[in-house]
Amino acid sequence: MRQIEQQVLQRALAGDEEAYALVVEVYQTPVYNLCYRMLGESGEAEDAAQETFWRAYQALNRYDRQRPFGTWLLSIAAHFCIDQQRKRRLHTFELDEVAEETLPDPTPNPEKVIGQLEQERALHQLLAGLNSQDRAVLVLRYWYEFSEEEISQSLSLTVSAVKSRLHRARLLLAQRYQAAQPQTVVGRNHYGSPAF
Amino acid sequence: MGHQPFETWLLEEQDLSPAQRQELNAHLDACPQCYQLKESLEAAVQMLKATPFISPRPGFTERWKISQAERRSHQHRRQTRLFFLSSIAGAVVCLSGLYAILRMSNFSIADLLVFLARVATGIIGFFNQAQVFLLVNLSSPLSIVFWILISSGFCLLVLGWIYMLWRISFRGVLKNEKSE
Repeated sequence: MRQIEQQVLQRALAGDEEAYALVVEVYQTPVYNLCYRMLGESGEAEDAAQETFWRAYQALNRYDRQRPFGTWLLSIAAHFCIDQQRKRRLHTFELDEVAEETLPDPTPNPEKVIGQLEQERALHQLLAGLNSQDRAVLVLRYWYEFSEEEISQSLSLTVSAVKSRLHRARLLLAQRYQAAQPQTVVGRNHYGSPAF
Repeated sequence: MGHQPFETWLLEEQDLSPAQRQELNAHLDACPQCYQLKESLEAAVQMLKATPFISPRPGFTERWKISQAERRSHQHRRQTRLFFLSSIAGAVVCLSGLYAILRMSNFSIADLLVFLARVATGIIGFFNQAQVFLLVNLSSPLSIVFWILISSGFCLLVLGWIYMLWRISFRGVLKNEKSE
């Protein structure tokens, strides 16, 4: 995640609107991405990201300067998205929408585009089965590489609660991934990951 | 076949000792379910990590600026409404209280009018005395200085009052809020 210059941040914290617009410019992608992964719909993600920046703007005088600004911002976004999800169930995933909104590479490569669409669809289906807090834990862990302590601070949970949620979310993720795959013969001696 | 503690080891991102790793590998060789769990988990996590960040549509910051102006305007209108409603509610409560006191006591409307007339007379009397006081001082050597001081103080108070009204009306009361 990009870090903003301290000088710009100081000006924004002092109430300089132009400096805060720079903050929005720098953090728009991480915040929007979190909202999109949490809510699964681009329009809602846009609204949630705008709301996040407004809430952060109003709460600037309460920002703890010992904390990384990006982490604080993402914490506001995560809380807002969790609240939104509690109010309604996750929207149905629409493939056309992904085609319009999520392709970072504009190169007209049909195979690549289809591959990205398929990946996005698979990802949405994986995340759709998780409850809002478990999803937030997973998103912060794997997209933003937050430690368990950082996740606990961001979501106002204890570290043990984060561990428990990560455990449950990873199990569900594996089960859903497994269910989505065509049945294959299970082999032996394939643990090629450095972790094993 | 028991899957614990191997399932937990797979699902929690904890570092395993060499002995634990060996034990886990041996279990994975013998247990297709745990092996499948490990493979699926690794693939799913890999998919999460490999998916790029999504950016909003171009012009997000411009939309933010517009949204900020609208929200501020909305907030200002809400504050103003709240202020007037509170004032009206306060006035209604005061009048209701006054009415209740009048009803419960022997104090009639006529008595109240007399009381108000006395208060008004008292205020007028005070201003008359102040006028006499000022006229007496005007004739003394310090009169001009005294008069300038009094007028300046009064003007400063009025200016301060106008500034506060302007600030609350146009700039809001939030710390980070600024005028357009």
